[in-house]
Amino acid sequence: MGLSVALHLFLLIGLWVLYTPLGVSWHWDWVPSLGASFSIRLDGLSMLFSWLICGIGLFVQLYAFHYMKDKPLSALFHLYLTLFMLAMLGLVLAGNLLLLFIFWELTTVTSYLLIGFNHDQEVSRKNALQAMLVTGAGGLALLAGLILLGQMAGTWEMDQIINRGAAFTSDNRFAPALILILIGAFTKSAQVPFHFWLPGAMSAPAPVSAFLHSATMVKGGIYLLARLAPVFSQSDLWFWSLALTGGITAVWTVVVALQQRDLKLMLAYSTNVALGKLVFLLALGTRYAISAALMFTIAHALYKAALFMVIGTVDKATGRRNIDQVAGLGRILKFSFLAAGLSALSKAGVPPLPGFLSKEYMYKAALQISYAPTILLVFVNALMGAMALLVVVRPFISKPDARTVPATPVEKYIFLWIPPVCLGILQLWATTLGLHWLNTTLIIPAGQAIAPNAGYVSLKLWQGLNLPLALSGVSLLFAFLLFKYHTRIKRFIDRTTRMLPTGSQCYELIVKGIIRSGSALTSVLQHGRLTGYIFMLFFLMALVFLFNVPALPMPDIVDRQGIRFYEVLLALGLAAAVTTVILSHSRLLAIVSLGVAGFITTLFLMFYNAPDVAKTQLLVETLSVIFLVIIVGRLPKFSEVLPHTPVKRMLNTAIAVTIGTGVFRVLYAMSAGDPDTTLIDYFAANSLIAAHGRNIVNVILVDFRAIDTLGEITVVVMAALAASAILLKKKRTDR
Amino acid sequence: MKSVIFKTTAHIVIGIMLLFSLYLLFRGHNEPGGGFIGALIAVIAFALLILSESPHYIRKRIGLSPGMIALTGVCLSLGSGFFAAFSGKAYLTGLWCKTGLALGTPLLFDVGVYLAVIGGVLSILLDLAEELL
Repeated sequence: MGLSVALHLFLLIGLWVLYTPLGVSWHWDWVPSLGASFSIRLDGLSMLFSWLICGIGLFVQLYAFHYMKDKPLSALFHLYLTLFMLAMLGLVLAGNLLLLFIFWELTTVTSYLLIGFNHDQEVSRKNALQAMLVTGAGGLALLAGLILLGQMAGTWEMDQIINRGAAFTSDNRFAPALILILIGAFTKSAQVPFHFWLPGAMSAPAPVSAFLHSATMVKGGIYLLARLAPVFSQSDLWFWSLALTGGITAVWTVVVALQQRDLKLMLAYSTNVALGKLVFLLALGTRYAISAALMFTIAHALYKAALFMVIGTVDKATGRRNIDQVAGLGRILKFSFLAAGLSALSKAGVPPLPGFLSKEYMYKAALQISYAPTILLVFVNALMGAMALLVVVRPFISKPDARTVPATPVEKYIFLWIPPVCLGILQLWATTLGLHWLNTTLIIPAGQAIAPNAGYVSLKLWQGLNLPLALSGVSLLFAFLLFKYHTRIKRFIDRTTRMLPTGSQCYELIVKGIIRSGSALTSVLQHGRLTGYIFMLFFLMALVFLFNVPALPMPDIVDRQGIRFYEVLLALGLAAAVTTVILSHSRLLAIVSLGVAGFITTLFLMFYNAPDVAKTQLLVETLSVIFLVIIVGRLPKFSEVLPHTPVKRMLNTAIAVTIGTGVFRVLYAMSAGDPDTTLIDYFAANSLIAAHGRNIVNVILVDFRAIDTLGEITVVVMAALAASAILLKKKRTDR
Repeated sequence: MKSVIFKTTAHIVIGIMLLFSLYLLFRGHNEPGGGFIGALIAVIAFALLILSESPHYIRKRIGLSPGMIALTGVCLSLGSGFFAAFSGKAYLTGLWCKTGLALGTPLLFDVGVYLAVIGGVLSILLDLAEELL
């Protein structure tokens, strides 16, 4: 734990030393032939996110130090947390699309480990898997989108792609690339209809929620959108998909959030709301909108991390998270109350906290566009304000009643309250003393990375009496009213949304459907009847022959070089042997006849000057007969097996005839033309000189194509292993 | 099946077959033959013994498990390529000693193939025979 804290501090300071607002980058070759390089790029946007990641990460590690102390494997928890932090840091610092994708997937995997940390609980495992499947599916879409983008640009380096800016709009790969990347970003940032994994992930321990759902995991998608905005933001598709998705997410999840009684779930849904708002602001893309988005990213990271920690402490003190069961904690958890109060005020948008400042600029940006986005934002912010009041007033200020659970004073452990209080103080600092610093070092450079030509100005806390300020007041007022009549509103929402399916239910349906269709397909294809497999194999082969062999003109057979009498004899013998196989009523006779057919084929090979092939064929035939003889003694007699139905017989005959004629036509077509002798000439010329051997076949096997042979003998050994595994298993079960 | 005549002749024939299989292995580079064909003949010889005596008899007389033989073969083939790799040529390039006898890494490779095929096929055959006979 000490190590991970040291690592966080080291990264924070290191990044600070390296950072310049104009951006710096480093480059190492990784897989040059693929254009994948290990390039790091640290500009304003990356800096803002990486400082949030390291900073919040530091506080979360400190908080987790006590929170997870009594849990088993707490060291492992710190390790996962650190790994996740590093993956996230890699994501926001990557300067190469492929590198970015790798870190993106790493965050998915490590977040799975974190969300499912309480893996002794089934719901925890289920929700971790759900989060991973949803974000993982989005990751696949993202990969496809990034590949398309890379192909359009002809490079994987983000610097070059972004410098080209909107040059790709006319490319016909533009829209697919955009949509695929958006799916990736929306799943990560939990936008409707993928929003449900985020509340589900609340089964994680409190520090995980504080970290993943404030500054990191879910902000990954926002970072990606912001990073690629210079490439895509000129298109209408970008604007509409972001604005609609963000708007719908914000409105829908804020309504659902008001329904919740679990404090942690309330915060989870309000994270959805914040993400929706961020996406919405990125869609607007004006300088005010982007400044507001960046400020809101900082504000949200600070207050949400603090609130999640406080709720964790409440959970620790009372063992409850239900809003009806905790009350009057203000006197017991004094410091937590302070931190929660500051954070909730920021969340509600009370001056001078960062939440207020971001709201001011949100309204400014929206008013520039039209009234629709303004109304949407006022609505969402009012409900968010009500949520903020609910989260703090009820647990900390209200009088305890009959349902309240008594609390233990857990604040004697300083790590439970120092991190959230620090975050609270940071919020006070951010918009007062630190505002100038924030503006010049982070927000303006970051804004320039998102929309280079927007002409940014410093954010100011006091801008005079204007419409945005009035709107802030209005939303606060509404927030208070909503809080006051909360129970009635909740009842109304419950009534109206009862019929709607939740995202989680849809997910369940989809996953169940996939599993069911998978097992249906398996039972069709893997039925375990050997005859069925063979039938399928030859049926498909017959189809290939039916449709894929070009109808070659059949040259006159007699026209070709004279047929010798022993060839006719052999052909007749072959026909007789095969007929015997078909008509035989005894397995042994059938096997022997099959062997005879094989040996006659060998003779053919001998006559055509292929002694090595003939020998191999002969030996393989012999071995097959031996194998079959060993097996056949155990099989039931033919007379005991039901004969095929006439229809089945007809079908089999048709397939056999099709394959037979097909093979004949292919062979005939092959021998009709002049064979290409390039290879033969090469091997004949080089086998003695280069490989000291006169037997071309063997020289090819052990020298020219030795690596193929190596593969083949490996396959032989694998087959042997598989066979003995099956037979051994049988032996064991017999015992 | 277990007639005395069959048993006795089998033992004689097997000796000849195994010798022949080695002969095919070593002459393979210049005349028809080689590791794969030689190995199949050896396996057929063993199959004759399985039918005339018993699978257990073979296991006892060979001593090594067929899986080990196969593994040795694969490793031998795999390893024969490294002579070239370590002398700066592409992996599995044939190296020959230039004096007198035609000995070289391809022969080593072929011996590897020989052992791998014997081990692999014999392993299946023995397992199957023990299961069914």
